[in-house]
Amino acid sequence: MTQASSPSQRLSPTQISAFRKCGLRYWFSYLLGWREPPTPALAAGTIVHDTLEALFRLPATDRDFANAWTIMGTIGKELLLKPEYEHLGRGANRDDVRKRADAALTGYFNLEKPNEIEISHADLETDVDATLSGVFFHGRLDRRTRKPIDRVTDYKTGKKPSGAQLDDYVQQVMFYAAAINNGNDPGVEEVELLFLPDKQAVRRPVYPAAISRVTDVLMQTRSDIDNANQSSKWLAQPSRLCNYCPFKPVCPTQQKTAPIPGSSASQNMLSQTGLQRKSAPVANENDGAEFLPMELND
Amino acid sequence: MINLTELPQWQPPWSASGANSLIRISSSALKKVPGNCEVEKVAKAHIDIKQELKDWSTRKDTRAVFLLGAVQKILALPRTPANIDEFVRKELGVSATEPSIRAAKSMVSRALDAVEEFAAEDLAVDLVLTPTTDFVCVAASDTQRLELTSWGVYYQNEDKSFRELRLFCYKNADLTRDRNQLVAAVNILLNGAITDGSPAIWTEPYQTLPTNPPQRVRVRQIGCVDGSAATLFDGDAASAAAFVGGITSVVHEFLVNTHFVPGNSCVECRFRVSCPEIVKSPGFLGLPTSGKISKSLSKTMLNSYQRCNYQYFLASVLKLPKSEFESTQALVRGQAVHDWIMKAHERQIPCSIADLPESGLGEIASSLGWTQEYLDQARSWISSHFQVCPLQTPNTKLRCEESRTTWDSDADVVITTRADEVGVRNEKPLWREIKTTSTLQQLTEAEYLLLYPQVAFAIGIQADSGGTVELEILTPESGKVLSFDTTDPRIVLAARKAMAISFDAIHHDEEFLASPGMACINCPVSSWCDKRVESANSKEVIVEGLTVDVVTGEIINDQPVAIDALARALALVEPVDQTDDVPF
Repeated sequence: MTQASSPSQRLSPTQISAFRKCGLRYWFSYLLGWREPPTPALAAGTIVHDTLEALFRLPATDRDFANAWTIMGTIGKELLLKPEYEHLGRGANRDDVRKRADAALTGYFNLEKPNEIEISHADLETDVDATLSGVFFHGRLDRRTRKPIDRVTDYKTGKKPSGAQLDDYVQQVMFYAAAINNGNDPGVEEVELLFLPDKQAVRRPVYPAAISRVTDVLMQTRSDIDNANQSSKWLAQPSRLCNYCPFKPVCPTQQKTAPIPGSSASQNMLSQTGLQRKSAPVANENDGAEFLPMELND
Repeated sequence: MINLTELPQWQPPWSASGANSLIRISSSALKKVPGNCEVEKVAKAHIDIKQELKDWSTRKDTRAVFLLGAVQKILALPRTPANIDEFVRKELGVSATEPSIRAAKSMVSRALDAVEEFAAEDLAVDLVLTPTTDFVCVAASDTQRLELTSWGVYYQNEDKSFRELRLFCYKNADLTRDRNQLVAAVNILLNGAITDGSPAIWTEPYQTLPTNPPQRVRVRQIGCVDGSAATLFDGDAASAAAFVGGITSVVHEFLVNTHFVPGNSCVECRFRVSCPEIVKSPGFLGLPTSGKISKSLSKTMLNSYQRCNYQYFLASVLKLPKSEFESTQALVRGQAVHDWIMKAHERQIPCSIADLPESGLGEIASSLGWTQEYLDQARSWISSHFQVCPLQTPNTKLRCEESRTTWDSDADVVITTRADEVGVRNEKPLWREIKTTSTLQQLTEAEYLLLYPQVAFAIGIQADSGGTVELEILTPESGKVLSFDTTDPRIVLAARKAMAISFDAIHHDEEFLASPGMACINCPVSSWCDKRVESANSKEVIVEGLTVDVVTGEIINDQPVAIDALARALALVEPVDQTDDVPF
C-alpha cells in the first residue's frame, strides 16, 4: 500500500478549491503527489503569466504589444524545452499552446493598457502569507496595483465561466484580499479576475461580509482536511467535473472495478495513464482500505 | 372563430430557430398588466420557436409554491374532499412552508364559499353544473395551429348546453376585468372543444373531443383572498358570438405587440439572455457569489428585508398575497413632496417661492387636485427644495419617474428602480434622487450610499455613460445636494461596495429569520405569518438605539449612530411594496 504525505499546514487557494470540489481528488493530488503532465492550456497559462510579469518589470513606456510578443516568444521557447513540457513542443500540441497563448496575450491588450498602470515590482508575483483565524494561508499573487484603487488581480487564461466555477475563482482571489488586509485598513479594496481570451474583467469590491465568508471557508476547509486525515476518509464528490478529472480511471465512484485508492494496482494504473508523482510521500500510518470514499466505505 | 389567415407571422426579436407551427395563447396573456412584458408573452406563446442562446432558466426557491394551483385542483373535483388540510398539503408538496399552506387553505376556503353561493344561486333556477376537463379553442391550417386556452375551472350542465369558466384572482373579483382576456375566455367557451386533459408534453397539441355548441356561456371570477365573486359574462350563444366578434383582432393585436417592459418580472423570463432591452451588467452588484436562487430586487424589497427577513421571504420569495395598510405621516408627506416636485418639473423651469403662495394652493398643488391641508403637511419640505432645485442650473433638462432595470447575470439578480429624475446637464447624463427627512444626518458620502442604495444603483448605471448622480435631501429647514461624479473610479467603487454590502445578506440568506415586533406593524403578509406578534400600543419604538415614532414614521435621534442601524430604522418608516397580483 502506498504511503501518503500529511496535509500541508499552509492552505493555498488552489488547495482549498481542490478539496472543496472533491476530497479524494485532493488526496490523490496533494497527499499522494500525483500530477497530470502539463496540458497545452497549462503551458499557455504559465507562458502568459510569466510574460505579463516580465512586461510589468519593464519601464511603463516599453510595455507595448510588440515587446510583450517578443518576451512571450522567448519564454515560450524556454518552457517547451523543459523535459516535463517536451511533449508539447511538437506538432499539434505546440500549435495549441501557441494559439492559446496568442489569444490570451491579444485579449490582455484589449482589456487594459499596461503602459498606464502604475505598479511596483514588489507587487508582482508576490508570496502572500497570513494567519487568518488561526489558519495558515499561503498563496502567490499575480499582481497588486494601488492606484487609483488598491486592487489584487489574478490572470485567467481560460474562458470566463459562470455559476459555481466563477464563484470559486472569485473566492480564490478574495482569499488574497483577506490575507493582505488581515487587520490592515483600508488595504485591498477590490479584487479582479482578468479572463484574457474573453477580454472580460470581473471585479468585486472587498467588504467585511465577503472577507468574513472566505475566512469561514478557510477555517472550515482546514478543519475538514484535518478530520479527513485523522479518519482517513477522503470523500469523493461525483459531479460533472469528474469527466475532466485525471483520476477518473481509478475513482471508485466512476469505475465499479476501480482498485482501492492508494493500492499498488491503483498506483500502477495512474502511472499507465501518464500521470507523474511529484515527490515521495512522507510516511503515514494510514491503512489503504480506509481511503475509500465515504459512501463506499459505509 | 379565429381566422388564421388574418394573423401575422411573429418574428422573434433575437436569433432563433423553429417555425410558428404551434401557437398557444393563454387568455391571461392577453390581459394588459402594467409592468408585464408583452414580448415575453408572445415569445412564450410560440411553442416551437427556440432562441439560439441556451435558455436562462430561473432557479426558484423550492419553498415557493403555486397557491392557486391548490384552489384550482380542489374546485375541479366533483366532490370536495373531507380533509382540506390534507389535500392542500399534498397539492403544495413537501417543500411548502406553513405560511404558504395557511394562505392556500384560506384561499381554498374562500373559493369554496363562493362556489357554494354560486351553486345556491344556480339551484334556484334549476341549474346544476359540474366540473369538467379544460376547453380549448383551436384554429388550424396545414402548417399552423393556434390554441387559445384559459386557466381556471370549467363546468357544464348535464345536457352540456351550458358552459361556464371560473377564473381566479386574489382580490376585487368584480374590478379585475380585462376585456381582451374576457373575450378570449368567452370565445373558448363558445367556440372551443373539450379536451381529454392537458398534453403530457407541453410542446404537443391538445387533444380535443367532439363537442356540440353550447346554448349559453358564463364567465365568473372568484377573489380567493378577499372572498369576492362576480359574473363577468353571462349570455346566450348569439350574444356571446357578438361579444367575441373581435377575437381575431384581439389575437392580432397580441401577436404584433413589440412592447418590451424590462422590470422585476425579467427574472422569470427565460429569454432574458437574448433580450435586447434589458441591460446586462455582469457583476453589477459586486456580489462575490451567484447565490442559490434567481432574484429580483428593488429598494422596497430591500426595505422589506431590513424590516424583517421573514417578511421579505413571505412577500418576495414565497410571493404570498399582500394586505394593504395605511401609510405613516412621513410616507404621505414624502409622497406629497415628491409629487409636487415632479409636477413642477414638468414645466422644465426652476421652482420658486412664487409656486407656493403663503395662502392658497398655487398652480402646482391645484393641478394635482390637492386640499390645503394636504399641501400644508408638505409645505416646509417643498420650500426647502427651492434652494436646491436642479433646474436652476442652466442647460438642465429632466424627465421624471423613469424605471431602470439591470440584470446582474453573474449573480442572476434583476434590479429595478424608479429614478426620481433623469436627464441631461450640459449634455452629460444627470440622475437625481430626492429624499425627505425630519433632520439632516451628518454622514459621509459612503454612508449616504449605504443609507440610500438606490443612489449607489444610479451611480452604477451612470458609470458606463459618465455624468453625475445627485442626492437631494430636504428637511423642513433646508435643502442639501450631494453630487457624485460617476467618472471617478473611487466613487464607482464606493457605490459598488455599498450595493454589495446592502444586498449581501439578502443574496445569501437561506433561513430568513423573523424579527417579530415593530416590523409586524403594517406588515403586508402578517395574515399568513406564523411568527408575528400583536403590535404594542407604544407610539415610539427603539430600534438599535434609535427611537422611531410609529405614528409619524420619523426617526427621532440627535446622536451619531452606526449607519447600518440607521438603515434598518429607516426601513421601518419607508414604504413597503403593496402591489399585488396573481403572479402569472
